Amino acid sequence: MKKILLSVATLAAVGAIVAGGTVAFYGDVETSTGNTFTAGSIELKVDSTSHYNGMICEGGAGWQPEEGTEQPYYPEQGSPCDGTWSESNLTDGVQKFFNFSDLKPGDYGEDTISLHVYDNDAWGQFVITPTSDSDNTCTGPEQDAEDANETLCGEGEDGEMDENLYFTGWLDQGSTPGFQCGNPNSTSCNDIYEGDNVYQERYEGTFWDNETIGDLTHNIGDVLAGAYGRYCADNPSASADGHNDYGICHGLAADGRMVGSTTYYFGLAWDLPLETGNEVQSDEYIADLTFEVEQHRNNPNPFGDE
Amino acid sequence: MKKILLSIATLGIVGAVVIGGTTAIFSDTEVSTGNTFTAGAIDLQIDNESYYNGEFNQETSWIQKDLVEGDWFFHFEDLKPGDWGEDTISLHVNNNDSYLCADVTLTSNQDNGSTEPELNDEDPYTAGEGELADNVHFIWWADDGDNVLESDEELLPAGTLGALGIGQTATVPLADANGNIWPEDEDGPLPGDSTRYIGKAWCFGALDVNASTYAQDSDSGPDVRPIVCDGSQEDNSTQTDSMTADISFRAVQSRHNEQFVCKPETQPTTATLTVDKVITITDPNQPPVSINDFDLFIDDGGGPVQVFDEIAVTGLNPDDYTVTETYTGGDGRTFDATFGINCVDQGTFGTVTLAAGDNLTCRIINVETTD
Repeated sequence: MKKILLSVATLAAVGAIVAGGTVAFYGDVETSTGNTFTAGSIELKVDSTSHYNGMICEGGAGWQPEEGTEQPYYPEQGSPCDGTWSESNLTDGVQKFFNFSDLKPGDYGEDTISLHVYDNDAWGQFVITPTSDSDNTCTGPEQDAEDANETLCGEGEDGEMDENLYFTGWLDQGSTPGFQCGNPNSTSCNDIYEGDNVYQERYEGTFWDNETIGDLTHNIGDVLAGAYGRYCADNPSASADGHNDYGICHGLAADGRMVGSTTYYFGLAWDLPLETGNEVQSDEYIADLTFEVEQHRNNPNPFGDE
Repeated sequence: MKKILLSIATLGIVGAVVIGGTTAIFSDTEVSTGNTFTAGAIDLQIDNESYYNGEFNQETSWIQKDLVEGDWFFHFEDLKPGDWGEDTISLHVNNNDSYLCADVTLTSNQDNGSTEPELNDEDPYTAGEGELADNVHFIWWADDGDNVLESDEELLPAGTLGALGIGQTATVPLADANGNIWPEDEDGPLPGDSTRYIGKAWCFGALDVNASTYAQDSDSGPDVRPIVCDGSQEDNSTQTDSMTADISFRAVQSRHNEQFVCKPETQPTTATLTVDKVITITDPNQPPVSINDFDLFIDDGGGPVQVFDEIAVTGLNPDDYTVTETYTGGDGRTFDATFGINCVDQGTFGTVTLAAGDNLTCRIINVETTD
């Protein structure tokens, strides 16, 4: 940094000399004040709404039944839950999209994740980092099932949860392609299906279709570019760069970028099928879910891709 | 000003280099750590406390565990009339609500050869068919854990194992969608982390249930309050006989399984149809015809299938069927046919609709047409 400092010092000294040299004569000074370089920001915030077996996680009120859910409720009404939070930065170990400690075959759930990139267009990606995939303990029936499958059962042995948990992911964009509901200058939004955590087959294509964790793709750009191609490319009202004043196809760009100041909704449904066998008993699968954004401008190859 | 411009240019280059060396581009990362999916467990464990003629019997008692080969609820090799026993079985379901069922399967019931007194009493002697299973009586009840049948404890359906054929299974629902035998539970599944008790007593002879029932809240086991068993009416026909049975307990998850019953009623999925052929009047001037001179067919739209008179056809898919016949006599004679009973007469054929579980009959009555 030495060279920079030196240059600045030189600059200041020269300026002083110039000023000193004008005082004695007629003259005129034209000043342009307030010339500014301000760096833009790329900031990501995330919110989540968690659903489990027809119950919705309502923060402090705990699990509450959704319309049409019949008793008996599991999880119990009012029991605590931690999968729902409003738009925020994520804190290590505090916000978890999924935190289920007593799954049974037939369990299912859904998490609506919204991503909001402030001010500037950005590339996004989604990384799943497994941190534990274990049998945990081995119950009697689990031992029998794993013996039959000729797999090892016991503490520290490979768990079967990840092979039996199926994920479906979709862009929860509602009946109007793109995202209309993130307009900072308007609280109303005329797409009631946007971010409603229900998969509407007619409007919302899946990007994961009942796949196990190992098969998931993670590039948000592919998802968004795919949606642009499917819903927007042939629409003359759409804009290829995804900026459309929160109108049709706003947020969907041909190159798959995330458009600044847009709230994106992703639905992630999971299902442990009723046919799942005893080999999954007490098994545990833990993963970190990371959302990364990088600036779009001047950055044709994000995330170190060549 | 040349020098200033030069300095700014230098600044620009150096600046660019510095940015390149620290962070390539603006970015942000949000991590949600420790997302967890953990499966629950349904693991049933059982312990058993067994008494034989009022004395604690170590061989058929064990502490809580998963059962393996050789864990027997009863294993008695020298029974005499009047012998009796009592077991209290504890069922432990780990931390999840579950349904419970008991299944008892008779696996053998043998004579094991015959002694002289056995031959005298067993008349006629049925070699290979033991009598013991008919003469050991059982009672089962929802116990409160003290090895004593008390007046407020519910008796479960039971009797002798001889009521079962070899290989047959009797299923006793303990807790399912239809009810729950334990008074401390609501109807339906057992709450997780709970222990429930089944009392079981047997008597080689006549078991007096009333005399074996004690007051509510009695404690102490059968060493103090015995099962009243009378073997005086037994004869020698059971000598050296043996019987074996498998007793198993099933725990099944209750979540997503609200309709679970231990003994599902099997719904028929197929139907049965019988074609009954009758020839009433034939031309007296012609040789007699028989039912065998007609081929009979049923058809559900997939093509005619030949059937035979009065032989029930089982396993048919529920559907609309047409019933037809052809005369195979080959001598030009013709017959009027009337379709009846469950068949609707359509002139030259009959129709019948079979629903699952139906057992219907289509009768064809023939009258020979004469000029």
